[in-house]
Amino acid sequence: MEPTLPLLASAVDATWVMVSAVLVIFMQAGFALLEAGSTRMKNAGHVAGKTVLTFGICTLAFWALGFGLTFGNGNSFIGLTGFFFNGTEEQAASAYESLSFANIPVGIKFLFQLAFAGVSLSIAWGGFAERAKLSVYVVFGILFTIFIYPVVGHWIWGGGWLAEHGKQDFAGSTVVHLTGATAALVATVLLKPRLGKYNKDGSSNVIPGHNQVYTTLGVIILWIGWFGFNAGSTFGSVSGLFGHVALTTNLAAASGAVAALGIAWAVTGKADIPSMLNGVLAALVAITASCAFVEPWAAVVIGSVAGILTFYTAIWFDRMGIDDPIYAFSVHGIAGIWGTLSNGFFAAPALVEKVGVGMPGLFYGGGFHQLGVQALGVFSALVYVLVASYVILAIMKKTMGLRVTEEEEVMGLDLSEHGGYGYPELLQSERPYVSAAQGRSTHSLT
Amino acid sequence: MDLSRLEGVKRAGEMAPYAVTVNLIHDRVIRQGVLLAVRHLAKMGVGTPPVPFAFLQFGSGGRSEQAVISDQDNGLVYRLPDGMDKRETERVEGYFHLLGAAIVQGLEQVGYPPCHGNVTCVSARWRGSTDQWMERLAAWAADPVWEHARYLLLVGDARVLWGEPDVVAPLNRQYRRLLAHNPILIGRLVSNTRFHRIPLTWLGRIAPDITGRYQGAINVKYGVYLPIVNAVRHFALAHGIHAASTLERLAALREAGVWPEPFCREVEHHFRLLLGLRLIAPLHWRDGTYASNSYVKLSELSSDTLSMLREAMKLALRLQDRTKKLLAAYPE
Repeated sequence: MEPTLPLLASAVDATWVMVSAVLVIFMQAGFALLEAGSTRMKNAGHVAGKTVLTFGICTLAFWALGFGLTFGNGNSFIGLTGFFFNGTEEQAASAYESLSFANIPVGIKFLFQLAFAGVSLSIAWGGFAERAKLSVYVVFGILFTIFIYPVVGHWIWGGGWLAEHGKQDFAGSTVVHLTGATAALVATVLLKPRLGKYNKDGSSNVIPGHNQVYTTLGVIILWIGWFGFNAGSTFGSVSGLFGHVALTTNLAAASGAVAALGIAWAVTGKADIPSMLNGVLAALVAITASCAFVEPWAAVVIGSVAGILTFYTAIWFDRMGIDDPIYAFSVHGIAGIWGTLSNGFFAAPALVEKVGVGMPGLFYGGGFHQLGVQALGVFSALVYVLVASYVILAIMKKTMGLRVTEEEEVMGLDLSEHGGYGYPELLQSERPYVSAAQGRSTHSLT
Repeated sequence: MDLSRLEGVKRAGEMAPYAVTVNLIHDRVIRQGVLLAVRHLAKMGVGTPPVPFAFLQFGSGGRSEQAVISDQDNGLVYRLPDGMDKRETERVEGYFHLLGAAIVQGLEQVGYPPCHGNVTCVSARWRGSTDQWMERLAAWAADPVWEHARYLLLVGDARVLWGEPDVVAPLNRQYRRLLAHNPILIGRLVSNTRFHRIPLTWLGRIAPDITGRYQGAINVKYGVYLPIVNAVRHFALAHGIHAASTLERLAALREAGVWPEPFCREVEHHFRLLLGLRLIAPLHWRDGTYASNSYVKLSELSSDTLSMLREAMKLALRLQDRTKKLLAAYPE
């Protein structure tokens, strides 16, 4: 086949989306490190390892049903075609009209979308951390990928009722982050706080993560992966839009880091590392919806506000008695809401025209129209995911139970769920063991 | 203790005058403890003190600045007569080891937990003859690693609470001699106390704990009181002033013209209020634990006490800055 200019252009676009898909899948490494670092040593192997298990489950469920439910042709509520994706262009042409705008192989489109569903699910797991049974990850992983993510995805990206409405959610502040975070919130409320989190008088204890270096590395990997997440959502590189998207993404993340550390320092007097890392993620979540629609200065504002907002909401949820071990709802939920709404303020006319979705924001004379559309989108997604997650998890709680026993939680999920320690050498030395020398020593008065 | 009459005290100023009373009570109780320990040993057939001795209070007790709940920081010094033979010396040492144990146990029974760092007269490090103490001080000063600097700071607050002050007099002279014109040692003592972080943000806001048992409270002891105590002590030591309490040190610094009079008055004013604030702390918790003794809930303080606290923190920061410059005052 003689390479023509359109073919080459399509190949360049496809390559970029393929690279982006790999970057977004690589975000799983970021989540594994972030979550493991933010939790205790006795759960480290479980917390990191379940990321692989659930990405596997998510892949199978999304391939069988999730992809068709999200992007298949159907009604304004859900997609009804294209189940058991076979990768052919025939199926693509007949079943997934909503994805036809991008001229790249459908296999790459699938991989890219799957990576997004995987991220959304990984966000949800934050709310389950350190106390949910392994079987819960298997069952909820399947149900989330079939009944929760595809519905919101279809509404906004799959030709559903919110897409027609002109909602701007470029890379998924709502679809991916708010959806995952809302499921996390429901889970963390139904699971109840970890043992030892709250005192009798209601005051809360900090349960520090066991490795800030892991957490930091996780955030750096997520930051890098986000270039695939946002800039890859252009579905091509030929237009050049991906450069702008990458720029706003990076500016927001940087602003989030600086603003979150600054606010933590100003309020608590401590330059708190976990708060800074949460600020980076919150800023990235926020800019996800608006990255293609806003100018660089607005990205700085959006990222900074997200970083500050998350710092306060994390404290607030903690005080409300909601033990969200990885701050999933503050980081992905609150920032997801803020990011989605930020389009309603900051969407610039020239960029809106270029992307071709919705209207300019309030600060550009667009009035309240786009803000209203954004708010409706956030509200609908939030309510749906709250209700669906609650129904699914409440049934699971009644039938199979969500939480490990108290004893298992105390000994750690590495041992209770997997039969081995994540850090075998280190924990072995804590076994009661009296050496001959220790046996002889007596208690000294001095 | 019946604290109900103190219910609702929100102002540090209301409590400040009681700081002296509280310390007089502590002194009487502890003196009585020592006396009972001596009698107890006599009753047990161990005998009476074979040589003159002194019971020392270190730390806040030494400075007469104890809070309502206080731990034990104490030591024993005894004078061995010249030429005492080895067996007799061992007998004397044995007596004071038992006396130390009896005192610490007795004081623990009446509510003074032994200090975490084992600074009590049952520990060999904090008990000994005048000569042993002299050697100890010299050894610490010669090798001022972190622990030794800490020990020297504790001795700097020593006060004889029971026994013969004469026994301790040579130690005081030795201590003064070791510190005089010794900027390296003063430098070590200063760096030993620099880790206290004052919970005042750069926006000038008091930053309470945001989680945990002490949510909404600040640690008055480490956050503002001790930084001031330490700064005043450093200046006093560096200028050859040997007084045990912070207020006496301030008066001496004023008289010696080290600090201008208005500044000394300002520090003194804030310090008296802080002593009052420390007495409020246990009213906020009622759990009788030693740690709670240091925390005050901001929500239960009056607005004038809060602004006093903020000013005291700013003052502590200024004092820390001055302390940094203290060493620069020494000639190279």
